[in-house]
Amino acid sequence: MNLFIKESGLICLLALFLSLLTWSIHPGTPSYYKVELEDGEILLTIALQSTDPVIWIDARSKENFELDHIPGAILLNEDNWEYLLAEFMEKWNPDLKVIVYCDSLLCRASKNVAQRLQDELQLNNIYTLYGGWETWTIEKK
Amino acid sequence: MKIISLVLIIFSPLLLQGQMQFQEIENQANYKFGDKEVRRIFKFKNDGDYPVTFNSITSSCGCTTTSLDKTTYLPGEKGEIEAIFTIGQREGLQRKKITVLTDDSDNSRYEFILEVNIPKIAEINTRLLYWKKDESLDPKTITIDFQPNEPIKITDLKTSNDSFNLDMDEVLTGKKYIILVDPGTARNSKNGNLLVKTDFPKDNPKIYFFHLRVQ
Repeated sequence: MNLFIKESGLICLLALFLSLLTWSIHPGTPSYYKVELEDGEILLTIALQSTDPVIWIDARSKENFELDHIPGAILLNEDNWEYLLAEFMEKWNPDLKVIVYCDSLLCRASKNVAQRLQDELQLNNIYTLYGGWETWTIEKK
Repeated sequence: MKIISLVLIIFSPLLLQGQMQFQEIENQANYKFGDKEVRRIFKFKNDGDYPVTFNSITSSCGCTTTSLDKTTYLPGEKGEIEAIFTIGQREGLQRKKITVLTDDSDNSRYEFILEVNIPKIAEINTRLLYWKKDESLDPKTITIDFQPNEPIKITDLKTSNDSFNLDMDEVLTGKKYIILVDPGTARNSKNGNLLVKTDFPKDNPKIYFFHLRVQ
């Protein structure tokens, strides 16, 4: 009986050790304590508290944009960069904080669009929304 | 002995791999100027001893679609996932993640990367000519340096606001152009777009927009 308890305990310890090891080295492990933002990323709560005027850029597909989008957002994606860029610039002014979003945490479209705005137009005051449209729909429900 | 057996049982999930064996998980696609899309194939084989069904295949970008001949693969059966990446007006290094979910209890998730490097057709110094409130109204320049080896012509140049005067100089034939934009002398706030049409690629000539603004 004692041997059984000892072995069971040892197995539990080993299982705990393995799960902690996986948690610590797995690249997909979520952060339980704080959100780690990449350069230029902004949290929705911070974006909504901003006193600066904001222009939202929707970097998703045209189809998704037409289904629904953040009120006032402008479509600007790399499917049709040139024409959409011209439309965006008609509405841009240097006092605006630009926040770009795409589908979710996994997409990179907002990062690419933000990078091109910086590289091609030398705009600053550009951010990408952490969690993208998915976060907006969850927090605004 | 009992301990060793039990430890092996604990470790065994780490040693197991899924039944589906893919030939590669990163696939670099070649691109040439003018391509509208890039297609790549990810080949796989069911190396296990029971059938595996694909539940879903998703991409990190709406620009990448995938297709599969069928969803269930018997032991020993081979198959292919075709990924089609639509270029649109993208530039630079593109890395699109494709996630495959199967009903294989040993390993139900696989991830692939489709990588395409899309070179710029032109190096352009800026897309925005902006005269700030306290800035003198001196003309500004746009430099367009075409990258392909073959010569490229600028076939049209026009603004949506005629109060901006334009002058174009072909510095290097079919290769490098400088466009001088003069906002005029009147100090009033105005803006406009500048449209530059080229003759490359032949079947879908590239158009560039620039924004002009005086504050």
